[in-house]
Amino acid sequence: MKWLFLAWKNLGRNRRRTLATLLLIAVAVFGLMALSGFALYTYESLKEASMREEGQVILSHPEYFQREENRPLELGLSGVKDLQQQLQADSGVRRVLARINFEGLVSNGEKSTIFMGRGVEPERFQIQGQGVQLKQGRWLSPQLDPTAFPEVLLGKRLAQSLQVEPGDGLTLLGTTTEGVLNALDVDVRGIVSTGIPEMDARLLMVHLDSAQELLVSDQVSQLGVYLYSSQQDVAYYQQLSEEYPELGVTAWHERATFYHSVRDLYNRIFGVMGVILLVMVGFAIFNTASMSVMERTRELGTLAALGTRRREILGLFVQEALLIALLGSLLGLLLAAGLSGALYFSDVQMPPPPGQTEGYPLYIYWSPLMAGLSSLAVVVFAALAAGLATLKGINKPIVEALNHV
Amino acid sequence: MSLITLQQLHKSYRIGKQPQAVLTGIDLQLHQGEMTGLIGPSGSGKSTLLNICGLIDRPDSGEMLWEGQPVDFSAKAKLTQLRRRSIGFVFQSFNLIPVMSAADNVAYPLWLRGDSRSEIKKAVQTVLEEVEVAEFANQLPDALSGGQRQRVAIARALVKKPQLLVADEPTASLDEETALVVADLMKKLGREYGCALVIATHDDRLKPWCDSIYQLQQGVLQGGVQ
Repeated sequence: MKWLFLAWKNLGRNRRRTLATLLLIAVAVFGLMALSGFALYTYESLKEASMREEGQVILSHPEYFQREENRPLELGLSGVKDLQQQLQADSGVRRVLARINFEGLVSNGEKSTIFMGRGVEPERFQIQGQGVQLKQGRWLSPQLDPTAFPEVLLGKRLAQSLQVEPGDGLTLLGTTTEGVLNALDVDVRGIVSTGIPEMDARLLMVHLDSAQELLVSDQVSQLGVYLYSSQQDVAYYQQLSEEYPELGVTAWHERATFYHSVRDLYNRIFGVMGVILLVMVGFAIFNTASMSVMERTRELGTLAALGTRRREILGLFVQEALLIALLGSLLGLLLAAGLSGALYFSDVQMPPPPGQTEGYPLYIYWSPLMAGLSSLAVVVFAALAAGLATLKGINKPIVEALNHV
Repeated sequence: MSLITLQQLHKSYRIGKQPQAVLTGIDLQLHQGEMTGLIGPSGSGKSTLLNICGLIDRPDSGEMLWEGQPVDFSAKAKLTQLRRRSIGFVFQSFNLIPVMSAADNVAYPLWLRGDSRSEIKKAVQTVLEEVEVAEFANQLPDALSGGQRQRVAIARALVKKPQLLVADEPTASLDEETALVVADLMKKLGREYGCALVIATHDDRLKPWCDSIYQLQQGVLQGGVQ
């Protein structure tokens, strides 16, 4: 305690230098927190988007994600209503939604183009998050109206290509599961955007029943299981793998290639930037401690002459660095918390990422784990730098130190 | 028995490529309760001899006995422990720790020794009263005059009741009147605390306070008991 007291007193010797070092550490910790907070927010958003796109756990034919189908629903699932009810009985399951993936041609009478179809259940739009945004018109109706044409949602660029708006009619052409051509007249209900131009040029969403009508089948491509708690996904995935060995059970992250790519990229970019910030902290502390040791060389000699052990003197300088590092870290964490709060309550938009058309809100997570790790890293770097800077001073012969001018 | 016995002590410094002898065959004994003065011109080796006695420098050859036991200058931890426990220093420029109050400066050697808070408080109060600066206990060294700082330094050296008090030019930074007061105080307290006091000075006015005076001339010690 007496050393800590002395270390605290010593911080006041050169207040300007102490303050400068403290602020640099605060900025470094703030930087670490901002970088990691942005990365964590991005990871969490992408994870959430991936989960909401197809579900936390996906049930399909065992080969569905292994190879291409030669004809629609060749690798589809049959009798899914019973399976959906069984799965829905689990109290942890929020929704079990079926989906059909198919392709075909869409025509406005004058022009035909390829579409990438999704047969979906309308409940999907209640839980899909920001992955698909409605730009015009309305989402698909909860129930199909047997007296009206089936409804479709078109990707923004597909709608532009076909020059249609909500309320206009179109014709879908597809191949049935038997390989026969089939057609379905539909009405445009709404225009959507995924933020990915290539996807928006091909995306077409219809009611599941309409897709089955076009394909003349009661099968589906996959069942997506949406859980109440995303923390349960691993356990639930294992449970389903054991309960349904005859089905293909896929976890969300196995399908989330974009999530993994971004995570790998950000981890490297922000990791390198984090190391640079820590090295800056190390140099700042080394410089401060070196200056302090040089200015206090005679005092080091006095302390040693009075019987202070070398390790005690080393400890004193390290404690001084630790105090600056801790105070700087605390300030940095508070600044990061302030920024995080300010962004939460304001609407700052990031520009669209490369290859996308939609921006996204800028948030920075304030993670207690990252706060602890950042502070710990800074404190360790500070201790090492101070120790290194002090070694030279304490190894000087006492008489030489006492005569230092 | 003497506290310290120096036998045929030699010490030289390398200046350029040539070694220059500073101490040549020094024989000296320091006794508890006595004040020994080392006088001589600048560069005569007074401080070097003092530093060796205070265990912060080592001789090239010869032997030093502490209470009859040879001192091993290579055992740094033992030397540190001996300085911590048994040796007090008074420096020419006081060498007080500027961020600590007078009382904390005096308390420092007792901190190091691990004394309890109450013991430290009592001992510090007593010694500050003895050197007559108790009223400045809470002042930082910068707020004190030269004489007051040297009194605090003397208090710091004596507070642990050392066996040896080493004082290197303790009056050189003080005016004449203060120098004599400080010398008187050191002599009085040194005797009261029963420590061997060795003082290096080129101030002839301090001679009357010394029990023994030695003259260092070209590394050779001359003189003895007055």
